[in-house]
Amino acid sequence: MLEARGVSVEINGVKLLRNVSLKVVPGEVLVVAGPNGAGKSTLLRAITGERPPTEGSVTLDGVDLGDYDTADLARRRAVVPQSSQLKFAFTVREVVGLGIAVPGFGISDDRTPHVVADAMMRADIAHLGGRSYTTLSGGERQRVHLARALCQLAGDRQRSGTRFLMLDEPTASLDLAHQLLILEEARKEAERGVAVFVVLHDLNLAARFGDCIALLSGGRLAAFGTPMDVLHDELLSDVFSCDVRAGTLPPARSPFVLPQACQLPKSYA
Amino acid sequence: MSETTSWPGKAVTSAPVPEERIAAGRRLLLLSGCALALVTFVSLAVGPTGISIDDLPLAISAAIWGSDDIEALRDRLVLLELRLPRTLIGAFVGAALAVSGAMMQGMFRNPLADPGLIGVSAGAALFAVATIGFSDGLLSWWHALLGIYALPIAAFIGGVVTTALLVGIANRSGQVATATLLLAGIAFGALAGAATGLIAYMSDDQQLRDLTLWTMGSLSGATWDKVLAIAPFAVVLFVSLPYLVRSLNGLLLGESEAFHLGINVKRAKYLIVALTAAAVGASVAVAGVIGFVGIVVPHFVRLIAGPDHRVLLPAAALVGAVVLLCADVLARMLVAPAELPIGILMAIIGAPVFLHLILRRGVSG
Repeated sequence: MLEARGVSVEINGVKLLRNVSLKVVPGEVLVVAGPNGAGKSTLLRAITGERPPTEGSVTLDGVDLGDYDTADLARRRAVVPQSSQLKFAFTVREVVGLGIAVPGFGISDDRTPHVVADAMMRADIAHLGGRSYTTLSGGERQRVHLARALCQLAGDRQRSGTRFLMLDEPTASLDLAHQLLILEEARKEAERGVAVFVVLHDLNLAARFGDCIALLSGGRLAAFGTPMDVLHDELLSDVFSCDVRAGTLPPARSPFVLPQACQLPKSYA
Repeated sequence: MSETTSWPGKAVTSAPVPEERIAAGRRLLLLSGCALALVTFVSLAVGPTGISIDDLPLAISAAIWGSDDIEALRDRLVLLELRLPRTLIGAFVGAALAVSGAMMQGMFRNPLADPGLIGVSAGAALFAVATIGFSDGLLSWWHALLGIYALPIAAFIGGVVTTALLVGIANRSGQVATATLLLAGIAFGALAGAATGLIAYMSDDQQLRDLTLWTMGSLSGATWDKVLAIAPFAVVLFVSLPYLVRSLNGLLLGESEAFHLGINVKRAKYLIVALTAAAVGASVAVAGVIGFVGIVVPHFVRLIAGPDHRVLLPAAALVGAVVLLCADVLARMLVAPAELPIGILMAIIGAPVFLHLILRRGVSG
């Protein structure tokens, strides 16, 4: 289990995150939502171990993230970034293959091509294997990084301890079908016992795929619970500064959300 | 295998390209290895005095087993005291500069980073020049302390200081902006150049002659002392290459991504800075400022074998040695019996390639 306790992050005197506590449980998908600047990406960075919190602690199976060796941590968690700075002409297959280059990974050399091919199939980029990464569209790049993360999670599954997958706005530049694909693959990892942490902007996707939703607002945790608990008119209208109606549709009784009209304070415009 | 991935109208074919790249990388390593052997042979045979290609086998055998023939003994002397150290230095310097260029480009995620262009060589040269300029007075203790290593270590410190300043500037905004990096390099280069000029202005004739070497770059005056001065730095660099492959490949994605892949980013960056500064510093100390090797060679290798550092680093070492030895042979042949400073020759070859890179990618990309 991955647990954040009272996490605050301060960068250059600005408090980006205040006293956030939440848990990511193996087998569950936690969706983090909130308006721009709410601290979603900062929370992600704190919880991957990239930026240690100024106050509070992040623990993985009871041990502080800072006490893990970098490689040790990489064997247990994979991250799909929003974008990457890669400007060199790696082929898609080479980028995906970087996912299994973590030391002590427990995948034999002859199995490597299969693991890479399987991850590429799951991210629907099998047909792009030989293309140069630099020639891909934004959506294709995002799927390449998903495949890389899936590779990284495919390491020795017998190893004990929580493994987790984190995705930073994975649907941002994807078409409808691939939005669903990427989240379904995340869901599948959860079903295999991986703890999944997704930053999402689309509340309907959050309702559809999240077991839990953490709603951030101004660096604070505004709500934390199941989609049915969190997605309510007043709370959402307040957090997102716009008139929001949430409802449910048959048959699954999962809530849906329709933004109605913008109510940003004048300073925004 | 997943069942969700059959999108209509999209043929799922396996692309063969990475395998082709691996094969291309192997061919490149093999070919450049052969080329290195060949150009080493030519470099031993070409020069104003003495040995022709026909005499070379005799001279080599005289060098190894001894001989009574006066001709052969003279050739042996030329071979052992002039040509061999010069060839070794050329190979070490070329390989070290090319590998350093490839490593810096990986660390800065920027194919335009070159120790010469971003001012690292200039910083190293400044420190080297200072140790020559002040050899009688201020810094005589330095020479007394370090002997033949006085120059390379001073140049190393100059390289480290410049690289550390560059890393600091490049990291200030969180991301490495190409323009910032190159402009900061120009500023450092100008500053170091001015300081070098000032020291030259205050120097006597003999010191001035020595100083000219550093500003133009040349393999002439190669001695075994100089071989000993660069060999340890170059060897340490080459031996550490296998340990850096994974870090550099990961760093190409970005520092966060590298961390997510289990790479200790801070340690990797310190290691890269120290190793490249040492290698560039030692190169500058023995051969002066030779630009563009670090940009042309890795670019060429990436075109053929892709950016994977597993192939890039060793191939850059081999090709770098070949390129510098070729340039040195040319420098000796073009205006024989005099010779061109090799730095000038490399700039003539390298500057157009650099321009081509800028035109193709743009400074911001």
